[in-house]
Amino acid sequence: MADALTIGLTVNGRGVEVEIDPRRSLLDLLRENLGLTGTKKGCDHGQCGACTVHVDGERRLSCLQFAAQMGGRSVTTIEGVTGDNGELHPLQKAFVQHDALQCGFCTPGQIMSALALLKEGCPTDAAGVRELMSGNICRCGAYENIVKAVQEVADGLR
Amino acid sequence: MSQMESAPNRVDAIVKVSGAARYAADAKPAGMLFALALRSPAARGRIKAFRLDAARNLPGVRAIFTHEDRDRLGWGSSPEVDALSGEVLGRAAMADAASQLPAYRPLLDAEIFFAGQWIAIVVAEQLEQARAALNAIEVDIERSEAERPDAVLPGPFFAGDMQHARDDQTDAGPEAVHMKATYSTPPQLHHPMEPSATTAVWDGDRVTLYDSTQGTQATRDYIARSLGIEPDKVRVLAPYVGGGFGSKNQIWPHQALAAHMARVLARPVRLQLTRPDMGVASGYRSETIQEVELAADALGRLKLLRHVSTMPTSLRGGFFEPCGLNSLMLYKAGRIEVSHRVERRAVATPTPFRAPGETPGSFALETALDELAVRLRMSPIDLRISNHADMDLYHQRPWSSNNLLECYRQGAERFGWPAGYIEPRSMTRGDLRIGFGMATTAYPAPALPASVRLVLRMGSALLVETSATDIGTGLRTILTQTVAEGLGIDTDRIEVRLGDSSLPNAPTAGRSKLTASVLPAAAQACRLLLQELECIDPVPAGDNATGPFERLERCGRREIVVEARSTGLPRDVPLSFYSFGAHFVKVEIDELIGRLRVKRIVSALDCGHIVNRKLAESQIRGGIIFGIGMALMEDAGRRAEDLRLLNDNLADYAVPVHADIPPIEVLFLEKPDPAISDIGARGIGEIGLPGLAAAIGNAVFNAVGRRCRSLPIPLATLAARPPRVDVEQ
Amino acid sequence: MASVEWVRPESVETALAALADRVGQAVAGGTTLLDLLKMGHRLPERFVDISRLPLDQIVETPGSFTVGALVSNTALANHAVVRTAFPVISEAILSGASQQIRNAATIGGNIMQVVRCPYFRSTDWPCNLRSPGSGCEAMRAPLHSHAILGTTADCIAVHPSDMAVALLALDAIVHMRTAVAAWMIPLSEFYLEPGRGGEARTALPRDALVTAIEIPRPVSAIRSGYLKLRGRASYEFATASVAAVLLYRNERVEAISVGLGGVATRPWRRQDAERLLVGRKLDEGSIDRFCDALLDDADVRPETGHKLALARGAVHRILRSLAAL
Repeated sequence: MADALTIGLTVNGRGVEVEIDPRRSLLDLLRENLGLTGTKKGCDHGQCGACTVHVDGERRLSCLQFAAQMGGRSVTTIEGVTGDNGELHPLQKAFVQHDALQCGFCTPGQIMSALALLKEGCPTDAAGVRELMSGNICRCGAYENIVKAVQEVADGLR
Repeated sequence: MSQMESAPNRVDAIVKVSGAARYAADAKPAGMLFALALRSPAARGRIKAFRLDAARNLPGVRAIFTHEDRDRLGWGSSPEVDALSGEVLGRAAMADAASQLPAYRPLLDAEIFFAGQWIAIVVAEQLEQARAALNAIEVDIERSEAERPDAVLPGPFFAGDMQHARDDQTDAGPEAVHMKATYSTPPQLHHPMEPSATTAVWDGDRVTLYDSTQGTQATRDYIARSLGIEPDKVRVLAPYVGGGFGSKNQIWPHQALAAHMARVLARPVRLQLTRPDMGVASGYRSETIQEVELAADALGRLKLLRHVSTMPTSLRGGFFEPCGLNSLMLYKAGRIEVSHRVERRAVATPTPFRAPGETPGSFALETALDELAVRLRMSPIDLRISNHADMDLYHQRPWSSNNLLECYRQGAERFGWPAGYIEPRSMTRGDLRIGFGMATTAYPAPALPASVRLVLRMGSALLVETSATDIGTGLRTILTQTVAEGLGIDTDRIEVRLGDSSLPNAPTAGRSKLTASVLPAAAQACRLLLQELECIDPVPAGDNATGPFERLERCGRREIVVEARSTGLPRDVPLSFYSFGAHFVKVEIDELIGRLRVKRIVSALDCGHIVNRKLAESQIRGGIIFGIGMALMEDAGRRAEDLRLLNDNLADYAVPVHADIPPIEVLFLEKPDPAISDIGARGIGEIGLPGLAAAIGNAVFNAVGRRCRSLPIPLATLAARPPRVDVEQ
Repeated sequence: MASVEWVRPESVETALAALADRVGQAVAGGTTLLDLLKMGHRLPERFVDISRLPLDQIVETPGSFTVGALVSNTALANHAVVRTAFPVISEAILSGASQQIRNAATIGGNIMQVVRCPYFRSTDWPCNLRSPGSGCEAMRAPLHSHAILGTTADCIAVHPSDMAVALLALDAIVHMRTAVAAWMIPLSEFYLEPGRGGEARTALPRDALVTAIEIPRPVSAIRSGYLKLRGRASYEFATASVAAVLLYRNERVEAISVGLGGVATRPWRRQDAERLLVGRKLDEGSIDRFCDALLDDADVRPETGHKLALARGAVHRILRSLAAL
């Protein structure tokens, strides 16, 4: 491929080297180059949050990140959240218990966003949680149960 | 009905929270190419010429298809192919000259029917290359004036007369109040989180489609017909679908296009719609203008209910919003007149969208009833109770069950709705105005024949197989529950396989019918399986402890397969199957800055037996949140100049976000429908939506005295200085 | 041109050298650029990745607070000094976009962000910003989201930044550098009237970088806040917004500055209107007169008229709240 760049980054704890088109987004790198399809493309323009991943521990929209700028960075996707033995993270368990999903398409992004929120410092009030999760759209309307799941885990951490 | 765990977790929740659920665009067969479409900027006209050389010469471009390639693609048009497409739904009702013409299909010829029509498709090795090629295509379009033919008065649609008038006996006295008002709702986009996608891969003369559809067999049949091959050569897989709400209920040409392109290029092709494509290539809810005229006596008993609806459809399509459906039967009135007028316009073809017809129709009807209640200084609940129809006077049949009065009672009690008439502008909290509003919701409870197969096999989970899709409804889970109960086994010994056209036939997910269609088939299959087991392994009297797996082992068989088919709605009893409910809403409005917040919603619903309360609540909440979006923010209006849609993305077209959601309490009456099936469950996918926008608008009136007759309710309407109460005509 | 070259300078100097021929485009967070690239906007030949340059420091002195251009929106909003001394900045940033976007977006990128007008974003339309001299579709067919202030014959698109409005109200100063020069100008001079600078909407030359934003420290008794009005409760640009900085003592305005967002082609402020309030008591009448002056050159169309009432209401609400009336 003409003009291809090679970048090295860490994805879910493993170092990878990928040859990419310089115009490629991190989202397409993850999905198309690495076959990590858990991160979803809902709009491709940073308007829905379905593509949320962690970059160096911070939640970001992978559809609006140039892959070319990810050299040396550490990326975590939903595939990196479930333990190697299939053990679910407490937040994933809470999502299951509270039925914080319906079609499941926005779910990886909601979870990645919420995991970061728990690290940033989750507000104690539901309104605060809702505000800081508002970058993740759920058309099925699982919002209330998502907030309940996040709050349950946040309470557990306090 | 035995006791079973009433709300087990969604059985596919773990795979979804792990990111392991595979949707249509997650499939990547070796050698796959990416396809992107170019949309027409003109609403009406003819393509004169393409200049494709620059685009074709870009790296990685494998093909650019236009209408000039239709023969190469084997892409044509015929009534047989059209018949299965979403483009023809409703044409039978329209029954006009245009309904006889070939239905719209992209890339057929040079004619352009609407702005956004697909006019070229680029196929490339990589997405970036496809995108670059798309931007390099030049096309000359000779634009023409978009025609505006006269309105059509359609015939029956969605099992209802679209032109209807009747007189019924009521106790209504002399007329005390008469009103007429016009209501309008804007076009709305489904915007499921997963954009539609089809990945087509050929293997010899067979093709597999990884598709995002609400109906795998309907998709299979359409694609087979389009390709000119037998349906058994086509397999459609949709085990996980990221929402549909109607946009994936009908079959759209692009689903077949992927197969045609993959065939001619001899490589798999993924065609994933972009978010802007979703506004023009998979249907939408059209705008409506509705006039409601009501006359009532001093006690609010209706003497006249007249509901006239006008809405557009496309130049060659047929679907229109049957707004008057609830007006036909929901209330009792001396005279009921319901009519519909459909105007063909140069727009994309609309399609069913969560509670089609009832949703915009309820906005008009339930707002008009509220206006009537205000004129009579009467509680809006009492008004509805006065006009409660205790049988279906339209179909002239008793309801299978109608507990709407109980919904009003329980919902009002939970909400804390005060008795009597609540004066507008009478409630405040500091600087904020508080308002209460309510509305009725009602929705049919259909059922169609469906088949479910059970495979009891040594060393395997109990397989439950059907072609139906689970688009987030939880069908997988309630099927699991039904079979667990029917066979007396644990849910974790059951594996549901669905969303596969090669599995036993089930209808498309839509019109809230899958539960009532599929679950009885599953229950019947369980009975057949137990009967089969009884034949080969008769159980001594008193032995209830041996489960089907143990009995299979005991009798030495490797496998037993049974299949059962449900019969749809019972035909021998003339009953009317509907679900009912009532929404109660509280709003707070800051008039200085025009800020409206929905503070609380209580919805009481009569949907028959609830199979899984947790999942059912999620469905209702989902419908209610669509109602919030409809009332406050969703608007896909086209430019008048050229009928182009500008709000074709998720920033400019606002849907509710986390911060918009108030506490929502859902009450299910859970009175089983005695006639629909032994299970007694009616569908619940859509009933949360109708009426909700009216309840919000009615609450706004109660808060600030401003009547909302058009949606979405604009911010500035609420920034009223000086405050005043709208004068009712 | 089907592709683009990336250069990754290790220092500010090499970055400026890479921009000196005016062919390269600096990329920090990249959110705006990747978005527009996917919309089909013309690609530059060269992307200069500045995301790792040492421009992410925050320097505090008694008189000023200087923020490196690469500080993320989130970092600035959450900074302890910002939350206490300049709450209007925190509130403005946190009201904008989503946490994911705030994490990636930089301060420099935020003030440089481009309009959201659909006629600009989609390459289907004539647009003087995207293609100078080609015309303006919004003039022919304005939308509810277009501007009522700062409009010119060139453009009526709203500047979408929340943070820039807060910075304007705080008299922020923009520091810039090229390979051969370094200078600073007030933010109020940074934004150009549409058409004044050709396609440039800011005073940043093509071969320069914003290196820092400096905010003069206000008097400690001053109060500030941001009020944003929009159709849904979050994750949406402003229909109208106000950044207000107020020192109100003994029922008299001692200092006041008010910036408007969501209504103008650039962050908007009228210091002549503010002077009307200095020394005055704040009440409905005096705030009304202030609004009259603040909005007096409003260019209103039927589609945009609602912004007047909302802007006025927002100004009333936030001034009353800051004055504890």
